[in-house]
Amino acid sequence: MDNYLTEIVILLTLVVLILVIAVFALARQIGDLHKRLATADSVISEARPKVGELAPFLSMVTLNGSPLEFGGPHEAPQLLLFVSPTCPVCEEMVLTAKSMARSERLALIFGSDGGEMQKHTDYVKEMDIEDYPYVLSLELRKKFQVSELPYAVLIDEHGVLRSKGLVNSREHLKRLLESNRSGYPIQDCVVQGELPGEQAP
Amino acid sequence: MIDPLTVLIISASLALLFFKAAKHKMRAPGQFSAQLAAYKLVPLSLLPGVARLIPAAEMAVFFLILMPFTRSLAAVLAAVLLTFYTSAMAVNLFRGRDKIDCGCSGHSQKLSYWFLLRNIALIISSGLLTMPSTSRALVWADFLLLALMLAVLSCVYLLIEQLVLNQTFSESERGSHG
Repeated sequence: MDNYLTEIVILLTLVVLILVIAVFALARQIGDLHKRLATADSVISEARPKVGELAPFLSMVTLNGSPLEFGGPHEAPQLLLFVSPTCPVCEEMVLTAKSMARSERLALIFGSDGGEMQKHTDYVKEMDIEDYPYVLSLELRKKFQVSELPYAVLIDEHGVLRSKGLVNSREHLKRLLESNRSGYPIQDCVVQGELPGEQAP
Repeated sequence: MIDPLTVLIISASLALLFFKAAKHKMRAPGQFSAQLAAYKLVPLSLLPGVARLIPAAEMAVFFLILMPFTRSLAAVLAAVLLTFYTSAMAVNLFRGRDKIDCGCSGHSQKLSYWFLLRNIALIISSGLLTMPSTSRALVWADFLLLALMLAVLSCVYLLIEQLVLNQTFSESERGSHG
């Protein structure tokens, strides 16, 4: 009696295990689909938030562990540059952004996501950007519907989105910054339309 | 009175959980103290101390819960820690600050009511460990069941994390389409 009960319980536990694994696999696939949908969305639909609107406020943690608030009122305009250790064009843009942020007095933030933490730490060291906040946030990337890299987002000191777009060259970044000074927003398609961008990995 | 197998299953699962929790906090102490600061519950002056104390307490739970004679002590400690986390999350959820990083695992995760439910289940199970257990000799089938149950519970844990992540996705999509 006891023996056959034990067998049944073990068998049932095995079945439950298989079912739970199956549900977990399904949940992961749903998550994957969400990610793909979001990328497709940003290509097809007009990306939000729009230029001139309040940028979403996000409270995040940087790679070295300090808190970072993106959006909302700040002392200086914030320039967010999405990069990736695997994107060659980004390296050049990191250097350009550093010098421009200094001359224009912008708070420069680097954003990235995915991959191993170690790769990002190495990248920060290699690019000599330890002094700038570097955040790993899928949410941030999704909020601005970034599908191509390097991508820049500029918000002014009141937290209003001033410009955003793919930045492949010094010129692109300069125009992105100029739109802030003149108060005249450049639509991202203008910046995006010129050069087919480096595909995000 | 509970069966010794139940005791083993609960304590091994809690040991796994607390080991995982302590490991990621010890590996990135700066990140954890920033996550803790985001909860806005611990005064800034106490923050470094608390940020060091929590992973140490979690490690203690991991070691003590595996030994039969310190098991109930560890269970109480585990329940206290879990109650502390759960109320911290509940306070921030009610404050509407659900966008902060949960600090539950290595990667970023926002707060969710799912975590409250999960933690309440964990608190109840640590409570069970303080109850007296019957004694019987464990046979091979018990250990097989123990292994299977551990696998099931770990998968359920991962499943909940994945579901919360999915929830984040669908919420931000709704947000972006107005």
